[in-house]
Parts: sequence; C-alpha cells; structure tokens
Amino acid sequence: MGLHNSKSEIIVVFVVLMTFIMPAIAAAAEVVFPVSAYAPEELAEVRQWEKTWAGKKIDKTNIDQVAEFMPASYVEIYKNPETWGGPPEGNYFHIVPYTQIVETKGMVAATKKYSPLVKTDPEGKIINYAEIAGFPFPEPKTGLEIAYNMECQTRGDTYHMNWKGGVVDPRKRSERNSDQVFKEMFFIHRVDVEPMPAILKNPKGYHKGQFLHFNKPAEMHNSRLIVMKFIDETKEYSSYLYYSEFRRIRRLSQAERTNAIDGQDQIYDDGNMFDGYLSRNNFKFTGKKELLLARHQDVKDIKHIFGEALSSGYTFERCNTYVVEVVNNNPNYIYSKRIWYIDPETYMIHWQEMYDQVGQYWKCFNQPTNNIKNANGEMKNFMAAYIMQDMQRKHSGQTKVTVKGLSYKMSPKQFSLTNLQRTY
Amino acid sequence: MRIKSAVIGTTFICLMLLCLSSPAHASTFFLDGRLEISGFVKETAYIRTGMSDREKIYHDSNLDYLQTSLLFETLYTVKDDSDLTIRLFGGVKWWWQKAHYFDQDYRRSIPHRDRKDWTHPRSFNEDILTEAYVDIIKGPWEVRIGKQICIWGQLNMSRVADVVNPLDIRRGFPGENPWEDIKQGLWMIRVFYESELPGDLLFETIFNPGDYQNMEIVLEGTHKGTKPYGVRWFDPENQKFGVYHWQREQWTRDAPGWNLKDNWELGFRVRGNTFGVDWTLLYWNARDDVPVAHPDKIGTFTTPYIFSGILTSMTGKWVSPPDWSREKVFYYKRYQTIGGTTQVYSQKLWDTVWRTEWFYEINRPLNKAVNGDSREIYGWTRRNIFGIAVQCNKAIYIPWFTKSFIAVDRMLDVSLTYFWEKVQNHDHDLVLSDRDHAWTNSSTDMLGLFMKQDMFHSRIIFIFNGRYFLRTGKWMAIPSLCYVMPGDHWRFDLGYVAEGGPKRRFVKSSATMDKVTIRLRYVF
Repeated sequence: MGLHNSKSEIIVVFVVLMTFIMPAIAAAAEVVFPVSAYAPEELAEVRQWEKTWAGKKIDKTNIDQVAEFMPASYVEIYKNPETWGGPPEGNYFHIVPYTQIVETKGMVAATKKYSPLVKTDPEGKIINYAEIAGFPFPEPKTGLEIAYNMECQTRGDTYHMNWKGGVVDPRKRSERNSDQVFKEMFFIHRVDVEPMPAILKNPKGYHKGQFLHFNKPAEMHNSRLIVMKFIDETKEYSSYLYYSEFRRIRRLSQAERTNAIDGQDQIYDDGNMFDGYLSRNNFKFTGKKELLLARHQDVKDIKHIFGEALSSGYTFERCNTYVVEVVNNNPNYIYSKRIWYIDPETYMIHWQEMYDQVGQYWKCFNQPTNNIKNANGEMKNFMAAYIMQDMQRKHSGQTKVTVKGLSYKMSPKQFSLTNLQRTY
Repeated sequence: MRIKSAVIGTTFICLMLLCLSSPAHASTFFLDGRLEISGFVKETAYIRTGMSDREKIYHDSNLDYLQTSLLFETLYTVKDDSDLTIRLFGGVKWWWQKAHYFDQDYRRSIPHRDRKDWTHPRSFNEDILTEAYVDIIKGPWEVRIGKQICIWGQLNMSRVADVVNPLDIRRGFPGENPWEDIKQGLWMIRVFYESELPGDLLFETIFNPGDYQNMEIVLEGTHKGTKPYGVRWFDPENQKFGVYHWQREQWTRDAPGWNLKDNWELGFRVRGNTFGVDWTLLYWNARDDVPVAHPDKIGTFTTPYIFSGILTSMTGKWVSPPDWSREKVFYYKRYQTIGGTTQVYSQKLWDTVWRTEWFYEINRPLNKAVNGDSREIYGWTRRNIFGIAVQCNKAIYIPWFTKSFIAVDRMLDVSLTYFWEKVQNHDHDLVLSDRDHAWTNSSTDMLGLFMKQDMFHSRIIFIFNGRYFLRTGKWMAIPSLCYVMPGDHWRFDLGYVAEGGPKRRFVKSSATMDKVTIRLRYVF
C-alpha cells in the first residue's frame, strides 16, 4: 500500500512537472516573431531622439543634423537642390516617430510553422525552398539568410497596382511620364492567399509571375509584358513582350535583364529593388545601420514639382536596418556591388546603393512603403513609391503607387501568352 | 484654291495638335476606366533626293508625299469579372494627301479616279473603319465577332506566316506605316479555346463567312506607284492614265466583294510551348488576295487601251478606251496555306532569341507568260510554294558605348533575318516578278537587318531597317531617328530611305526613289 502510494506520488509529481516544464521547454524552442527593429533599451534612446526631431521639417538648412541617418548621396541632393532641379528653397521631408510594423497573421503563422523546418546545405542554401513559406530565418545571422528572408517577403502573395511617374532629367527640368499596371503573383511561399504555401498545379515550376500593362509612354500604349521566374535557379527567367504597335508577341533575351528599361535608371534586375536569382550572388552581412526609412508613407503627402529629381513631403522614421553587401558572381555584371538596407521587420529593401563596374558610386534607390488594407482586412506594409537616382549622370525617376488589389485571388492564367494578346 | 486650303488645313491641324497637347498628363481613360481611347495624328512628308529626268516631267518639286493621318481607337468594357468579360473595340482611320496640291505636274500624273483614292478615304467600310468587334471571354473560351485585323506572325516586317488580312500598300509599306494603316480588316468570327493540355495549347479558329478584300496595290503616278512615263507608252503628255491604271482598275472591279457562297475563308491555329520552344501551327483556306489574269481575255482587254493610246498620239487629244466594266479579266482563285512559327531563347547560343516562320502554299495560282514577262500572259497554273524565315535577335553590349552618356546602359537590339522561298515544279514562264524572284530562278532569298539603339535615356531612338535580296541584288536601307519630345505626346521622326540594285530583267529596283522622310506625330 505504501509502495503503491509512493508510486502514485511519483506519477503525480511527474505529471505536474511535465505540465509545467514542457510548455517552458516548448516556449524556449518557439520561433520569436514578429520582432521589433529595436531592443527596449535601443527604443528608449530612439524615443529620446524623437523628442527633438519628430514632427520637424528637414530641409537644406538642417539636413546636416540628421545626415548620419541617410545615404550621403541623398544628403547632397537636399543640400544642392539647384543641381537636381529642385526649387530654390530646396526639398524637404518630415520626421515621424518609429512605429513597429507587424506582418500579417499568415506571414507570422507561416514563419513560425516553416522556419524550424528549413533545411540547408553546408553553403547555407535552402534545400526544401519550394516547400516553405514565411521568413525562413527569423533571426538571421548571415547575408544569405537575410537575402532569403527578403525573397520570401511575398508582398501579399498577389497584388495589382498602378504606378505613375516620370523619367526626370533634372538638369533640363524635363520629364517623360509612364503609367503602367503591374500584377504579381507568387506560386510558392504563399502566406496570405489560398492555396498555401504553394500552388500545387505548377508543372513548369514557377516561383512567381509578373504582368505589366503599359498605358504610357504613348508609343507603348497597350503593350504588355510577362516575366516568369522559376524555382529552379538554373533556368533563366522567361519573358514575353506583346508589342502593340506591331501586334506581335516577342520572346525576350535574358541579356535584357541588365538592360536599362525605357530611359529609366533601373534595369529589370532592379524590380522591387532586387529581382534575380539569389544563387548567382554572394551576400555579406556587414552589420546594422540606423537609417531614416519612409515606412508609413502616405502618397498624398508627396509633393512633386515638374522636373525635380526628388519630391518633397516624405515622412521618414528611424529604423535599425540590416546592411547586406551583394556581389554578383559574374565579374562583368553591370554593378560591381549593391548595398542593401533592409527593414528588419518586413525584410523589404528600403535603401539601395549601387556601384559601377569600376567600383564608383553610381545609383541610390529608395522604396517608401505604407500599410495597405489587404483583401483579408489586414494591414500589410507595401510599396508606396519608388525613387531612383543616378548620381553619376544626375538623372532620376520617381513613381507613385496606387494599390488596386492586395492578397486577392488571382488566376495563374493571368500570366499566359493568351492573356498577353487579349483585347484590353 | 487647293494650295490655300492645304496650307490652311495643315496649319489648322498643327495648331489643333498643339492645343491638344497642353495637358501634360492627359488621360486616355474615361467613365471610370471603362472607356479607353488611343491613336495618333501625324503629318508625314517625303522629299525625294533622287529623281530621274523622265520623272521630273511629272514633278515640279521634290515633295512627293505630304499626308495628314489619323487613327482613333476606342475600347469599351461592358463587363469584366471573373465569370464573364465583354468588350467592344472600334477603330477608324482617315488620311488627307496634299502633296499634289502644291505641284500641278504631279497632280496631272495621277489618274483622275485614282486621285480621289489617293487624297481621301473613299469608303467607310473599306477605308475608314479599321476594326469593329465584340470580344467575349468566358472561362477558357474567347469569341471575337466583327471586323478584325489578325496577326499570326512574329517577325518585324516580313509576313511569312501572317496570312489572314490582305494588305493596303497604297500609302506605305510595312515598316513605314503601322499595321492599322496597312492591313485591311475582315468581318469574321474568331474563337479561341485555352486548353489545360500539356504545352498550354491554345486553339484558334477563324471563320470569315464571305467578306473579301483584295490587296490594294499602289496607285499609278503616286509616290510609290508605277511611274507614268513607263506606262503611258504613246503620248505621255496627253494620255490621262497608263496601262497600269487601266489594269488596276479592272483588277479592283473584278474582286468578288461580299459573297456568302464562294468567299468563305477558314483558318485554324494551335499555339503551344514544348521544351521551352514556343510554336504555332496554322492552316488557312481562302481566296488569293491578288488575282491571276485570264489568258484569253487579258489580250483583248489590253488592245483597246493600245488603240486609245495610238489615237491619242495621232490626234493630240485624250481618247478614252471603251468601257470594260462588264467584262471580267481577273480571277481571284482559292488556295490553301499551312505554316507555323517557332520562338526560342538560347543562353548557350550567345544569349539569343531565335524565331522561325514558314509557309507552304498549296496550289497557289500563278500566271504563265512568255519568259515570265507579265506583258505576254498566255495562261495560268498552280504551284506549291515553300518559304521559311529564320531570325536571330540579340541585345548587344558594346564596350564603352553602352555605358556612355549616349546609350545610357541601353544595349543595341539587333535582328538578322534570312528568308528563302522556293517554287516547286518551276519553269521559266511563271510570272514571279512580284515575289522578287530573278528571271529563271525558282527560289529567292533575302537578308534583313534591324537595329535599334535608344540614346539619351530613350529621348532619341535610332532605328535601321535594311534588306538585301541575294539573287537579284536589290536592296533597301532605312536609317531613322525618332526624337521623343518632352511630355507625353509628341514625336518627331527624321529618316532616309535609300534603294538600289542592278538593272536586270524583272527586277523592280530603283535608285531614284531615295528620299528624306519627316514625320511629326501626336500620339495618345
């Protein structure tokens, strides 16, 4: 009886212990996501700084005081507006308080579910890449891991947006307008739109598809472009242009990926800041850097004067970015290196600096974002504008984004050749 | 009076365009995006730089072509959701040719009846209305009903597999004018079915119940037309038109027009992608766009014109040939075409895109004439004709230049095309001069070169179009520059057209057609 009692006590104690200890063990292994760009003590320092700066208008008179939080090339544009087509008083922006961005429930759940399942080879390459979703490395340690997170940011899985902007020659104060409809859909890594995490009926192994419809420039009116990226990184992108003037579908050479797009300062590989195969690049995580990011940018606040390289009215907040140096494996690649400044909460590249083949500073891109309500009723941080500056040639390009649909059901047939030639 | 109206008209059009261009961000969308308009207004001038002495008799100036052109297209979306899409598309074009207003000799060289066609559109259905159709998309099905222009080819200027719509080359050729200007729409039904089969097969059927348009060839005395001195044999001063016009008019009269019984046209096309190759296969059964002359009638048809010329020469006054409108001389025969296209990108072959197009015309009607001379037609026959074009396209990085402030990272786009055609069961009497065959040659081949270089952030675009016929030695080179003016709408083009080739029997080459081309466009 006594033995029986002691056995029972042991079992009871064991059960009680397991009841309390196991969750603790599980909690220790649980993926921590979403994360904040700042640790609490860092955030306190930021809040202190914001007491001085939040709400302030920054222009050429006081840009030096926040210059440490901006790419030096941008500071020069604010300081020398006459060189960049700006008004005599110069361009300005406002500083707003840092606000944490929380990803959608789908992204959070997928990150928690799939990041522990990620399998890598000795070089760090993900082996089961097509089977996962969410950010594979919620606590990245290397440049490649950050790059994977950046690529797994599926921007709502599907979206439909209209971008309007201009190719600007600030020295002549002239602009040429572009107006395009852009749609993108991810076939894998889906977190917000069913089927998740991947579209099973994908015999060609697409990673994602892009569809571009030109309204302007006028000679391209009604021309359309589809670009397909493959899961298999040995396959080149597949691109087709329906050229409305000749009413013909033309397959495009992938040498075009490094061709400047229609007078702009970007190449096809610069789409969404970076659009290429990760395996063709080397990534080096060089540390963290605090920068001013336009993460909650209302496009209505952007004030543009015809012919200026940089608009005014941006709202920047401090954020502690990941800095990644990207070098293409091809020594003849158009850029000798790119420097990415990545938002650690969304893994979107906000600032990017590019160097030419002889290593000279060449371009600086900025991608403001804003929280947009998606089809599920959630807020999703998404591209709001896109600003390109060619520092060598003093040339610029700017677009404002209007989101027509986000995380909605899109058919893969959107990216068929048949759809290219439809009546629009 | 005409000169005055032409000057006033041109000035008015330019002023109107300037007014239209004032809103720099003009929208082409209306009714919440349901209605979209697009098109252009353009003023085109050709100034001849080489003109033979014989031709100068018919020209007081070197301005050979001055035309205002308009294209206006509308697209109205009736319904557009995931279940059903209905869209209405319509397009109209219009032109006003004015060069002959400034040059009385030039005016005189164009036959009176052709002058109307040359100056303005003559018919709403045939000349003004380019397209008008309803497009219905439901699930994998798409149906287009109405007047349509269908493009089946992939090459720049060549029409190897592009067989459906007849051409209208009265005012320009492919490469000079857009397809809406050059192709004649046909009333037809097109049905597409997007299958789920491997290779993403797309099936397309075209049925034209009875609309027929013959190919509209150049008009006598006009810019590209037959020169009057070559066809007004007896009294060039007093003959009001030449034998070319006499025959062309009959050719147009003899075209069948609408006929639900005999003019049906039927085509099928399948498109797919297999092992990375985009391909199409097509079948087309239709009346020929160009006629064959009836051997028994062409002689008796030409004789009255000869008598008319002799009498004109003898009397010094124009004696018109008799009315032949009740007689039929030209026949538009039916034949069949099979063909296809392929398109593939190869990284291994220097990052190039390869395109091929081929056709096999089965029982194509051809005239027979003594030694192939179309002036001595004695019969007609049928032959099978095979043609194939291979094109290699590459974006080329030119050291220093591509990176320079001129090209601004934009590579040179180059396409090299080789075309070869073979007439089976050939004999020397086949009339093949219109197909660029040298006399006695059963085959012909051509090299084409296209180059495009954007410069200064695509503000200026250089384009080169060239062709060289290897058998005949005939060639053409068109370098041009397009200036994209600040703003959204204005474009200015300046080009030069050079043509040449040896003077050989049946080789239609001319070194005297060189010209400067100037074009001002307002696109919207």
